[in-house]
Parts: sequence; C-alpha cells; structure tokens
Amino acid sequence: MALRDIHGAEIDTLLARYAQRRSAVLPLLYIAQDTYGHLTDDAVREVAEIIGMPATDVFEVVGFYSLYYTKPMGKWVLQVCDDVPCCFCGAEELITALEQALGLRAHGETTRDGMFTLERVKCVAACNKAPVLQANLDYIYNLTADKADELLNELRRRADSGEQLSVSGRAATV
Amino acid sequence: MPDVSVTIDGTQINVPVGTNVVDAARLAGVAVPVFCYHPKMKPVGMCRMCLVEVYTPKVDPATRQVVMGEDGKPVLALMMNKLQTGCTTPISEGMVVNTASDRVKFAQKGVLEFLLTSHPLDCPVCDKGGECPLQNLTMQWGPDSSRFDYEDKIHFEKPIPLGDLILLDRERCILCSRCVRFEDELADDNVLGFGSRGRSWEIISKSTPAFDSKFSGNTTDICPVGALTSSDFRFKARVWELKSTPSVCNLCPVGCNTSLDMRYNELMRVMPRENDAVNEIWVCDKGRYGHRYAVQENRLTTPLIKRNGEFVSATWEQAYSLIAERLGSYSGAQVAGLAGPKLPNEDLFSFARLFRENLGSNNLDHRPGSPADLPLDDLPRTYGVGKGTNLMTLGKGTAVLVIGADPEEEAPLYQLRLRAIAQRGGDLTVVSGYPTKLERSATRKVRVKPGTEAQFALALVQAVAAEKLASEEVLGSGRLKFSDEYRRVLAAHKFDDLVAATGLAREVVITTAKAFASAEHGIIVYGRSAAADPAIPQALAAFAALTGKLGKANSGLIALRPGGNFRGALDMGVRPDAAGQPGLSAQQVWQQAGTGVKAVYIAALNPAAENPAAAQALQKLDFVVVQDLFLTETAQYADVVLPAAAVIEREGTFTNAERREQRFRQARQAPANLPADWQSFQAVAQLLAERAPVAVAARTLKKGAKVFTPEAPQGWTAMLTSDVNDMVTRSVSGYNAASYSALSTSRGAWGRQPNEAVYYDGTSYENTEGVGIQIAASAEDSRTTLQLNLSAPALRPVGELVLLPVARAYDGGDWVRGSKLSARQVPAHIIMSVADTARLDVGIGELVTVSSAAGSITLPVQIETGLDLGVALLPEVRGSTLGALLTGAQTAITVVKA
Amino acid sequence: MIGSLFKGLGTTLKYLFKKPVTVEYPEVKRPVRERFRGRHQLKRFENGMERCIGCALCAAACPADAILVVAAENDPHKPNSPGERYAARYEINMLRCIYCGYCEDACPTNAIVLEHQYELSFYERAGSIFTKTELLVAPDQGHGEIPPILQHMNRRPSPPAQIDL
Repeated sequence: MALRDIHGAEIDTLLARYAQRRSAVLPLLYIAQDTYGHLTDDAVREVAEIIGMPATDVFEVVGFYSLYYTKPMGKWVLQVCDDVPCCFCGAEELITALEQALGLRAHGETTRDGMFTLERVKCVAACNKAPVLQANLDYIYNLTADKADELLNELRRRADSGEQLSVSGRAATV
Repeated sequence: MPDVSVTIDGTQINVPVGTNVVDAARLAGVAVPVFCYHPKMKPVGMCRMCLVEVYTPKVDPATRQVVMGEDGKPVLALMMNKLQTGCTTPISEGMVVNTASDRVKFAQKGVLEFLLTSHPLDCPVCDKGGECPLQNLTMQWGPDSSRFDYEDKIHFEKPIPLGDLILLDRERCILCSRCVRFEDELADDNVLGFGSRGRSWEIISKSTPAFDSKFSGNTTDICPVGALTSSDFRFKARVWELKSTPSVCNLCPVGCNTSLDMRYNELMRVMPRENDAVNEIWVCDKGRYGHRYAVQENRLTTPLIKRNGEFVSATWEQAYSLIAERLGSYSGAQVAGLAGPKLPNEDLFSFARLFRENLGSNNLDHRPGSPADLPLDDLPRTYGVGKGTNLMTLGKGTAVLVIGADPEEEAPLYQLRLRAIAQRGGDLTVVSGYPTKLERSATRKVRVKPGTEAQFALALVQAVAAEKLASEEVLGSGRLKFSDEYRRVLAAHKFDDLVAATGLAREVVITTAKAFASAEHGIIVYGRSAAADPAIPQALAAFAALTGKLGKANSGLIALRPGGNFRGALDMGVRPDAAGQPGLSAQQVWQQAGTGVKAVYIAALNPAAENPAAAQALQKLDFVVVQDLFLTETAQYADVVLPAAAVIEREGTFTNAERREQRFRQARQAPANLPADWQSFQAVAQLLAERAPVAVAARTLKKGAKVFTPEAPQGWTAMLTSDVNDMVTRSVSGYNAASYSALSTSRGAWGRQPNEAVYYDGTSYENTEGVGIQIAASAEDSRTTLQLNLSAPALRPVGELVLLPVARAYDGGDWVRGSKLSARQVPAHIIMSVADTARLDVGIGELVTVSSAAGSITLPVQIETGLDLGVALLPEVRGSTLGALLTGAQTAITVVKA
Repeated sequence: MIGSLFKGLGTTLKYLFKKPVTVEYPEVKRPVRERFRGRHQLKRFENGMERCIGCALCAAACPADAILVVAAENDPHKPNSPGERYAARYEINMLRCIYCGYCEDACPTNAIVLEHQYELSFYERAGSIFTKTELLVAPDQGHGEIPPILQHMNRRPSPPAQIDL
C-alpha cells in the first residue's frame, strides 16, 4: 500500500500548506515513518517521488535528524533524559529500572515483542519536572524509578486498546 | 569592476571588488593552503585550512569615519577578533592580511593535525598518492607529529561503490564537499549528498543508477584526497610513473583537451587538460572512460581480402594494389567515398583529395547515409561564433539561445559551459520540444510544441521586423543580401500563425527576441533536432545576422552535429557539394548502389549497423573497401578491409564545433605498426597516380609549394602527418594560420598562475601543448556579403504520433568497447508521453510495434512525464535501427502494443 | 743473483705454512657482513600474507630503473596482502640492479630486503629478470622484521608496516 493511497488527503493538505513542495519533506517523512514503522530505503524514495526532490537530498535529511529512524523501532519509543538535573533527581535509577523491567539496555534496543525501544537522550527542556521521559515524544514528568512499572503497564494498555500511536510524535498530546 | 587596495603579507596589490582573500593572495604571489575551496566553485569555508589573520581599518561608529592613529595611518582591528577563513572573506579597502604569522601557522598545523586524526595514512596503497593535496599541504604546513594515537583512528569498510564508476573510501574523505558542490552547482546532477552527521558523516549517492552523472569522473580530479577513485584507474599505476601526452577527444564536437596518461605503451587513464576556451578543467565521462576501444585485443591488425566469401589476411601491398586496381577501373561517377566525422582533418583532407583528384569523383560524404542523416549545413562557417570566442568569460550581457538541442547528450561539456554562463548572469533561453536537462538552468525555458522549432525560429525573424530589433550597424553596412525566397517565405508565414503553431504566447517569442537582440553578445546553439530541418539553421542565421550577432567574438552560431570532427569534415570537403559538380550524398549512394555506383570506399563509418537499406545496398556493389579499427557490421560486406591506427596511436588535428582547430599527439605505438588512415589513402593514391597520371589540380596548390616535387607521384609525398597539415594550411580556406607549430605554441590569454598547485594539485591539468587556433568565420571579414535565405518549415506529418529522433551521449558506438561505461548503455527504446502510453495501455518496459511508411520495429517503452501528447522520441542508440523507420525530419508513426 | 732466487723461494716457503686467505669457492663460501646487500627477497607477514602492497615506491627510488611493479586490486575474500592493493607483477632486472639498497629504504612495509645471496649469473639475459616467483619467500620462512635502525631508535615503522596481523 503506497503512502498516497493511505494518507492521500493529509499529504495533499501538507503540500498545499507550503509555498515550495520541498518544504513538506519533514512532515511527509513523519507520515512515512509512522506508516512503515521506520524509514526504509523504499519509504524515503517514495517521499522523494511525491515531493519531486532528488532522492539523495531526502536521504540527507533523514540522516541528519535523529528522530528519523532507519531501523525498526518499538511501538513506543521511550527516551529518558540523562542530563544533569534529571540525573540528580534519579534518572539513572529510572533507566536501570526500565532496563530491568524490559530486559534490554538503553542504547536504542527494542523489546522482543516490538513494544518498547529505550534510548538515552540529552536535555528535553523540562528540567523543572525532572526526571523526564518521552514516550513517542509525549512528556511524562517527575517519573521516578518506582513509577516505571506502572508507566509501562499503562503504555501497554494504550497500545492494546487500539489507540493510534506514532513514533514520530504526531499523536503526542503535550 | 573597481579595484580595492589590500596588503597581503606586506605586498600591496589592487584586486577587483568581490575577490576573496585566497584569490587575492594568489594574485600577490602568496599561497594560502585550501582543501574545500576551488576557484571554479562557490566558497563554503568547510575545511578551515585557509585561516588567515585579517585586519580591517577601524571605523568610528558615531561618525562612520576611519579612525586615524597618531602616525596618520588608519588604526587596524583584527576582524571578529579571531582568524578568518580566507575563501569566504571578501576583500575590502585597506584590508591587511597576514598569512604567515605564528597564530596562522598554529591554526594551520592544528587543522591538518585534526584532519589527519581519522585519515588512514595508507598513502602507499592510495591512487592519489603522489598528487595528493593532503600529502603536499601536510608536508608544507602540517605538524611533524600527531598527538592522537594511531590505534584510535576510526576505520570504515573500504571502499564502497558510489556508483559503478566511482568508489568512495570513507576513511580518507575529509568532507570538503567539493564533489557534492561540483555535482550540484556545476553539473546540475543532485546525485551526491551528505548522509548521517557528526563522526559518521559520509558522502552518499542515492540516485538510480547510483551516482548517475555524465561528469562523475571530474569529482575524482577535484577530490583533494584519495577518497574518490575511479574504477577505471584504480591501482593501475602510480601517478609519477605516468607520461602525459596531450590529446583531443573526438567523441563529440566539443573537442575537449585531454591528457593521455601512459605507462610505457599502455593507456592508464585519460585526464582533462586545461583549456579555458574549450573545456576549462573538465571532461565528461564519455571522454574520460571512452578511449579504451583503442587497446582492445580484437582490433584488426592486418589487411583482409575476401576470397570466395572468406576473409584472408593479406599484405599491405596486395591490399593497396587491389584497391587501386579496382577503384581505378571505374569512372569517377561510379565510385563513392564515405569517411566518418571522427577522423582527423589530415585524413579527411587526404580522402577528399584521393577522390576528387585521383579518382575524379565528387561522391563524398561524412554521413552514413541513413534516413536519420542531417541535411548538410555549413552556415556556421559564415555565421559561426567569431575568432576569440571564450564561453568561460561570458556572463552578464550575454544571451544564449539553445534551440532543438540537448547539449548534455550531444556535446556534454556544453551543459556545464552554458549553465555556467547563466549562473554568471547571462540570459539563457532553452527552446525545445521535449524535456532536456539544460532547461533546468535556463533563464527562460521555452517549451514549443514538438517539431515546431522551425516556426519558432521564423517567428524570431519576424519579431525582429515587428519590434524593430534589427542592428542599425549591420543593416547600414549593406552586407546583407536577401534572396527572393527569403521575402517569399517571410510573406507567406505570418508572425501570429507561426506563434500559434508553436503553442506559445506571443510575448514569449518577443521577449526572447528582445533579450537576444539587446544583449552585447549573442550565441545560438542548435543541435540535432534543429539541424534536421534546413529551415531552422537558415532562420537562426538570419536572426543572428539581423540582430548584429555575427562576425565578432562571442557572437554567432554553434552547431552541434554528430561526429567529433564534423566541422573538419565540412571544411576539408568530405561532402558531396564542396566543389564543381555536386556529387552523390551517402543516401543517394545507397539508392544508386549497383546501378550508378559500383564501388565504395568507407573509412571509420559503420552505415550497415543501424540502416538495413545500406546493408542491402552494400551487397549490390561490385567492390567495397572498409577501413576501420574493428571488423564492423559494414566490414562484413567488404572486399578489402584495411585496419588503421587509432587516434591515440598517431597525431593530427580536429576542428571543434566552435571551429577551433586543435592538435593531438601520438601517445602509443600502434599494434603491428598500423598506418594512420591518411597513409592508406596516400598509398592508394600513389598507385592510382602511377597507373593513370592525372594533372595535379592546380587550384588546391599555391605556387612554390616545395612538397610537390615534379618526380613525386602527383604530390602524394607526405612523410609525416605534419606534411599533410602543411597542405591543409595551404589549400583549405581559413586554415592558413593553423600550422602544427602554431597549434602547439599558441597560448590563450589565460594561463597558470603562481601557487596553482594549491588549487589544482592532484590533477595535472597543465596545458603545455597549445590551446588550438580558432578558424575565423567568414562574416568576420567585413567585405563579405552575406546572402540570407529562408525556407518554409517542414510540415508536421499527419499521423497518430510524430516520431523525433534524439541524440544520446551513450550511443553504443564502437568507442564503448572495453569501456567502464558499457554498463550505462541503454538498449534501444521508444519514449512516449504519459497520455499516449495510457491510451495504448502499455507500461514501462513493455513492447510496442512502431510502424511508419518506411518500415516497422518493435521496441520497449519508456515514459517521460514532461512529454507532449502525440509525440514519441526515439533515442539514437545501438540497435534502434532508426534508418528502417524514418521518412524525414519528422516521421508519422503508428504504435500498437506488441 | 742466486741470493735473490733464494729470497723469492723463501717467501714461497713461508706462505706454505701460513693459513691461506683464499677459500675454495664454490665448495667453501666466505660469509658476508651482516649489512651486505645481495639478491633481493620479498618478505611475508607472519600470517603468510605478502608484505609487498604494490606501491611501487621501490621502483620510484631505484636509480637504475631496475624494478617494475604492476599493481592490482586484492580480492577481499582472498587477499594477497593487507589492504586493497598488491603487486600483480614484481620484477627486478638483476643485470641493471646496482645493489644500492634504496628500494629497501623506500619500502614502507619492509617487504623488499637485500639478502646475502650473491651468486647471480644467468645463461641468458631474460633469466636476469627475477619475477615474484623467484623473489617472494615461501610462506613459512623469512618474515620481514623491524629494521635494526628503527629498533635502535626504539621506533615502530610507519603505519603501513604496522598492518602486521
């Protein structure tokens, strides 16, 4: 199923929004990423084709931004800030708790069931509510280690409920 | 441009406004090391190698006046209070630059130390070793030791192919982006980019096919390290072992200056040779990778004579005497000669002499005699760009009109040169019936209805009168003479009707005409599609003449026709209409084969390949001589096959599309000491002259010509190629100044500058063997009267679809043998519009049967989104058998799904 | 007159009882000095790979133009030498060679070493051209080592020579 067939209307709205078609490259890549789970070679070429940009230029964009994933990711991408304020407030403990709960290491590994990917990130600009975790770019504040299990269960429930999820943060609320 | 005065390392010089510090330093004789900066491209300041101290006069913010010190001199302030990159800093008045202070030296050492942290230092393995700017700059400006641990270097898998021609070694890459910028800025191929970022930044190419550019080889030249290497040269030789022989590429009419880098007798690589008026420092991939045919094992090495249907080897004496005997037994009208437009001038001249003087035949042609042949057109001899034309100097004030041409396919370097004119502020109009790459660079993209370029050209002539754009000077000089036909055609074709036929708005034609007429320099480039209808060159010549764009440098016509030396073929008289009674054209030769024409001598042409009619005609002939490098399709029909030396095995001259005659040298000993083509022509002529002495045609010889001693057989006494060239200079009009010594000593106004190595090191662009001599256009002589003529445009044929043949650079010719480009050759196909393919219900790659009044062929389909309904393009590649289909400049066809 | 004769015979007699300075070549071969420069050998790494990477610096350094190197690309699955390049042809014309040892100095991988063999004679001129077959040592013997001068200075060879796997 091609992107055009699934998201035709949304793509047309995005293309119409900008004076130049190539300006729509970032949102279109997000759509492609959500549709295919990650940006495969073909997905990037498809976006290039829709916008009419040279494929190489779109690959440059994909390579530059860290929020475009070129390898398979979980349904939830959990990004824990491990910068100084979060660290003081217990980010390392949180990461350890998550690692133990998920049985993986926080280097962008994905659980076997394809539900969670855990990553360390630097400051996400919410130091007053440290430690902070982003789940699909949705902020979860003041997340201490003891609340980790509760959060994971909640996220699992949301995923199972059939809610629209987006690793690109298109469904993020905060 | 006003000059500003700056002081660089104590030397005060005046440089034009806008010059950057690196270039200014170069003018002052000071070397500023660079990696990413290249004088042919915009500066980006990525490598930080050109850091210099820049001081500017201090300005009082209140008064906006320069602050003067107690000594009466301006107080200087260090710009931004830190070192600046020289390449991105433009010069300003009173600037003082230090390039050798301790601070600068410390920075240079630091930059090099840093660049080398991730460099593998595998110079002994690297192809760039020995001509590597990184090596050289490290020796001159680098630190003597590194604080980084050798074991900590980042290693990548090496090499990875960027495409089938270019390989990337990511360890060696210093990320200067020269290659990316070359492809984006100069070549307009957005096929290279930066993938990822930070420590894993790397060059990527994601086009299909990867690194899909016709100029990709140039990136290996400008790469300041060994990151980009060509699969054609990898590990072939170390650069210091190579001996460069100056040569000229004959694969298209640009005539790029090349260097054949030889080790002993082996061709190792082909490099561009600097010639600003022709190819600057570039050469296309065809010219770079397309000369391996000469070193193929299956070259012919002995003459072959057909006995009882089988070729048997013969001695040269046997072959020559058989040819002389048989050719001499026919009357002049019964023999015909076809010599390809890739042969050098000396050969074409000798060939024409052999036929006109010894055989008494005017049946000469340089075309293969296919229906796809272009009609003869020699207007650029009169209206061509004048002596001293140098496209590289043109920019603002220049109007270029490209019509019916796809420069990238027909003469690739024109893509770079014309695009560069537009980038420098010139006005580039691209008129075409179908999408071409150059129109992306155009100031004005004019897409006419396919096949109506003639109407457009006539409309331009009409617009001159309607808008009073004619040059008073030219009209007042009284040089222009208008034929009756001219007036008749103009009267018969009204401006509005012509414009309506092209499907354009009136204003488009008028603005194009005005832009051209008002420009200081005006150049018209027309190619294959335009030359197919003689009405177009005539109208373009009239337009150029009326607007005064003739007879001077940088103004006039440039024709792009098939064949690297087509211009030489026209000038040397290998054409049916050159002298006296017009002879038969190649097409007529095939029509009259067996009846009027009995014997044909074919040199460096392969008419049987794409034209079944020629193959049939060859069978009807009594006697066929084929002279070529390989046993071609045509050679199969020959009675005698003569081998010949390839271009790299002999010397000679070519004349390019701008009528610049350029000399090439012998780089290699020919296998079996094969003679050059002219030597075979001379040997046959000598035998003919002994058999039936004819009076030496006095018209071609001037008095006192020493070569023609009385006892010599009718003036065929050339020992060296230069002897033939002497005859050319004496007898061909316009060529009198172009002797070999003049060709090899003439230097243009440009030249290498001090410290050139800083920029160009790594690539031996230096041109020490002359830049060629431009042959003057006859309009440059103010006494010549210019007879303007016009013809009615060819009528668009009525049919379901109109077929237009289009040229392709990778045409599958003999040059592709042994070339790395053989993978890029496309099989024959037909290109149709989206609407037409939808109507026929065919997809990409599906077969269709194309039929015309002449015949039919089955081809796969390609779809071109920019193409108009009702038009099909047939690329001229090997296997397209265009000759079987075409009926004229435009052919009505029907297409059905096969 | 007679005195002179006996003087001469006396000298002969004296040497009859001295150890001779000559040796009975070819049965006996005089040992050469450690730094003697004789016939070349192309060394290998300990893992059996050729040390020569085909860089042709020896050919460039050779004052007699006696060396020919034609490089080629290694098959990544079955490399002849570390790195991408190896010498497909390596020839030394022993008649041209002046045994100066510049090739040894130029070699970045210590691949070419002038060894102690000095018996070089040929029945025909073509035989004087030694190819890789003659020059390359067997895989199990004669690994090139860090030259004594570098050992003495306590320095490692330049990077390509470190590719010892």
